[in-house]
Amino acid sequence: MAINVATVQEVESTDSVVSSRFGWLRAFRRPLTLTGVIIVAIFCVLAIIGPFIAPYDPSSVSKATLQPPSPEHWLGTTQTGQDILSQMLYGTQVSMIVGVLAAVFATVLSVVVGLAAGYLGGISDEILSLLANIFLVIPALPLTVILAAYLPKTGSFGIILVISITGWAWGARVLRAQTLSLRKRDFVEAARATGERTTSIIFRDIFPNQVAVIAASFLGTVTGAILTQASLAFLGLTNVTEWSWGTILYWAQVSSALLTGSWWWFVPAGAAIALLGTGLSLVNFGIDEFINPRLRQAGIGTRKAQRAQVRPTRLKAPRRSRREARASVSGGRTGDVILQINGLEVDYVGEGSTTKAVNDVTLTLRRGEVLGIAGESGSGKSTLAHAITRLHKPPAWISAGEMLYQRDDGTVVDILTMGDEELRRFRWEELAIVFQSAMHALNPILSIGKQIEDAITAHRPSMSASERAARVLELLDLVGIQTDRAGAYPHELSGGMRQRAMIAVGLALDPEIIVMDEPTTALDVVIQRQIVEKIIELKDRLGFSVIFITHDLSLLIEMSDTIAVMYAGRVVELADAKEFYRNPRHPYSRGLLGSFPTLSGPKRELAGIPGSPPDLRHPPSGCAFNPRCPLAFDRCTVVVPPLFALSGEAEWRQAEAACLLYEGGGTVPDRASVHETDERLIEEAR
Amino acid sequence: MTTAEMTVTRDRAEPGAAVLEARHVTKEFVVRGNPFTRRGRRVVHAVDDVSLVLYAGRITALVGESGSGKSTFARLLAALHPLTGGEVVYRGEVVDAKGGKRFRDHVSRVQLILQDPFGSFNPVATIARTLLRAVRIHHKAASPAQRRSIIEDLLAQVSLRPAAQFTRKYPHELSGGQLQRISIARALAADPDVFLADEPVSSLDVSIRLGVLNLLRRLTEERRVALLYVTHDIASARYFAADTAVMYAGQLVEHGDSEQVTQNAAHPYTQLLIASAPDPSRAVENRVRDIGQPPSLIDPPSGCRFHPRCPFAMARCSEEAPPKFAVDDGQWARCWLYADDDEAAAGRAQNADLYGRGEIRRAGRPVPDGEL
Repeated sequence: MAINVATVQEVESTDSVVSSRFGWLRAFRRPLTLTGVIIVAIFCVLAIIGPFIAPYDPSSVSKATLQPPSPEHWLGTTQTGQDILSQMLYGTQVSMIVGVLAAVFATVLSVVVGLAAGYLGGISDEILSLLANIFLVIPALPLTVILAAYLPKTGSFGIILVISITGWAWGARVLRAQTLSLRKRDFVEAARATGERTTSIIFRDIFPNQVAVIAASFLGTVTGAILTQASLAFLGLTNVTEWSWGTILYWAQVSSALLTGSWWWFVPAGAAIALLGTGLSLVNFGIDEFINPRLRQAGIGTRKAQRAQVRPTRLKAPRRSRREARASVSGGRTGDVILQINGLEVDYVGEGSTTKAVNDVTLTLRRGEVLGIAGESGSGKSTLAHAITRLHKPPAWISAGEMLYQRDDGTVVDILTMGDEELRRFRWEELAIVFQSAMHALNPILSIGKQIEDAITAHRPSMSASERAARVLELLDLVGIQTDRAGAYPHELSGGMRQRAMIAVGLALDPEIIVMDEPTTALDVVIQRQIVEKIIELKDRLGFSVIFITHDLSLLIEMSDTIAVMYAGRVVELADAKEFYRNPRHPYSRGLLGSFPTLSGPKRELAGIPGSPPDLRHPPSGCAFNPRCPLAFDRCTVVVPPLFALSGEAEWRQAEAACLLYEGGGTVPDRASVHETDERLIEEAR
Repeated sequence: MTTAEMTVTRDRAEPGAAVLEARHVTKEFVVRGNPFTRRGRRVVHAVDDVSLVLYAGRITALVGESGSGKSTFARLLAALHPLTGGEVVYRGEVVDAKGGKRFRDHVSRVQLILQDPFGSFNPVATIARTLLRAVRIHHKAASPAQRRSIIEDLLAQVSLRPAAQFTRKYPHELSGGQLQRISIARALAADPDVFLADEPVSSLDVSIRLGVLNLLRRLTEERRVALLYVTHDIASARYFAADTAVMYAGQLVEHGDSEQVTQNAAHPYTQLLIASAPDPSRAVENRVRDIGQPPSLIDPPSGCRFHPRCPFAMARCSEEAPPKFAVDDGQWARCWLYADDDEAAAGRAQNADLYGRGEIRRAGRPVPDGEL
């Protein structure tokens, strides 16, 4: 899951042209938020001008008793002939003042306590947390009733006090927890390292990042306070001669309005409370978009993306017909092909735009092959891994292509057309996945032995318990975990051992293909070496194929048979690993190889690649690499180069590169001359 | 007054002069157990007796695995944690960073650059606001217009031009490479003498790492600051740092000229680290089987902390911690293999054989404790 999010961020994180100065105004484009804001605004205006526009004195009695709504009395009258509309208008003011002031006091109290406890820690945290916990376990309503009964019945101040005292503790706890997590964030540490004062860190780093939570808790408390005030007034625990929505309900109740059927007496007050509560809740839902600059622009979570979620996986017509593709799978030298990906495209659907994260990717994987996919962040390599396993989540969706899998018996299926049940069986039994973060991928409350067993139970229900137990031990032994560790929980294992356990889960059902998405990135080099050697050893023994994805080109070259380099969603070079290392053809591949410091041999000049990876929302025209390419010429900005076949040695596959330098087959320049020109051009480019 | 004059105010140390020095620095973190019985109270020996000198205009790499204590050590130099033992010396004076004023004085000389550029910026503040805060702290007298030009100057120094294109943005709108340059600019605002860069490029894409490293190198040379480059990537230390120190389980195990340490590693741990690093340029497959794990720092192994994983471990390795042995010009290793006796000589022969080295190393000279 974490990986999915990261992929979206990769795509989103590069430069954006949108100026965010008034970005918060865009939050209003959500109709629900806008509705909420309008409702709340109307009540605020009424609270201010209510007493001035009220047609009658709310307390003055008249002869028109218990009248239903009429042109003279829009909301009817009470038993003593008082105008209900005027009472409502006066009442709005009192109810709103009580609600807002109580929420202000409670929020200030919770912010002070929460931030102090969270940031200062130690003994002050313990005392303040204890205080908040005590207030939380005190039953709020009875306390409110008791306090309200004892406090003087003059005015609303007592009520405000009572509500704030009983309402702050929950917010304080939430804010303390938030502060604790923010305090550990890097930017707080960076601020400390810059020499900021503690107060400045609290007010400028911690506080602004909690505004969303604080605002949400404030709005929630307003609703709560208005309700509490209404309840107290309804029970007659406030000054009943001061008009508020609660006192209206009190008098309606006292005068048996329900029994006499005078609905106009109590419905307006009840409706006002419900409406304001709804309005505040609607604002609350939208509040994150006001505060968080990232959400203001992000396309994720928008309706369009959600629509893509429910869209079935019906695809545009693939580029090649099924028959042709099948012929290519079973024909000629490629008889041992196990997976054939044709013209695969994966889009991220955002607001008003579609980002192609994987663009027209065609790859083949043979039995026993280790296919390495290299690329930087945003190159689409992780998206591709998720698409192959069909584990991609909205807003990503596969818009074109096919993925043909050849079973042992020679039948060919398209993974993209599999139904849910077929797909479930296909995963793990034929294709297993190992992700980067073994800690997140393993269930923390089950022992690793149990997790491996679960995978077997789900797919091989006929296996007996003793057979399963034997298989679990066999698998643990296979990946190099001592078999007496079968009962260990994930947190009891080191990172390397967890990754081994993940591989054991992946191998449980003897899959034909294992997709590994950065399986060693979080590990140290020494542990990485152990894991990689284990993978290769197992592959040689069990004969599965591996799709290995990483940004670490050195590692990839060492362990792969063939390498596919991805840039901006496309495969730009495809070659045997040895040939690729000896003679990289695409200028990007050369730049990438030239960026790696080497450990053995003489030190060489590291070149690096100027510029940064492209923003996939606004990809450059023509070849996506042209703005960074030292060898780019005019046509590079016009033509998107396809993969051109190259000369050179080939054990697994003939090398191909998507670069106009190699256009026209026979005119492929040899290594030496190209290299020379490169050096010169790179020198000039500097 | 030009902006350059405003930002370069500190008198510089001569190139090669010691600027910041750690002397026997030790840090223990206490893991709280039961507050009443004190049971379960454990001590993590994160950094144990580390001595290291940083020189003006020179890059020193500190290499180690995660959990080796290298990041903690950098934070100790930045005075972000109090020391348990030893002392940090800045230009001959022992650093005392207790209290707000003295702490701020220290951080204005010693600036930390963090690993994750996306995490080290306040997500709700624009770049201009973040930089302005740093400028306000370290240039109190500057007028608002001067501050603006200081910010522009800082961004120009990290090759981000035009400044206006970056100052208005929020962190999420910039790429990792740009953000890491901005965090370097933020550190420059203090006009420090020492940069402590904690894995400054490991979360960046390979193709842009080089640019950030070259920028750091240029700043080190031009401004004659001392740079501690904390990394897990020993190959980048070879290219980027003049000296390399290797840390294992909270202790320095080897130190020397970077080329010497990477090409002719003396300590078995450094050798394992180098043999494990992926490197397609390596000609021969000289793999060492290693099934070990880094030790627990709560209960570290007796003697040499590497002995349970060491293929050359001798009896004394588990009993007595090895002293430093000077093995070559400026290179030392904390390993019993370099003791001057027959058993150690046999171990050295085995070591040379395993790594396919023709020449067997000579015994080292024990370095007295006080000498660095």
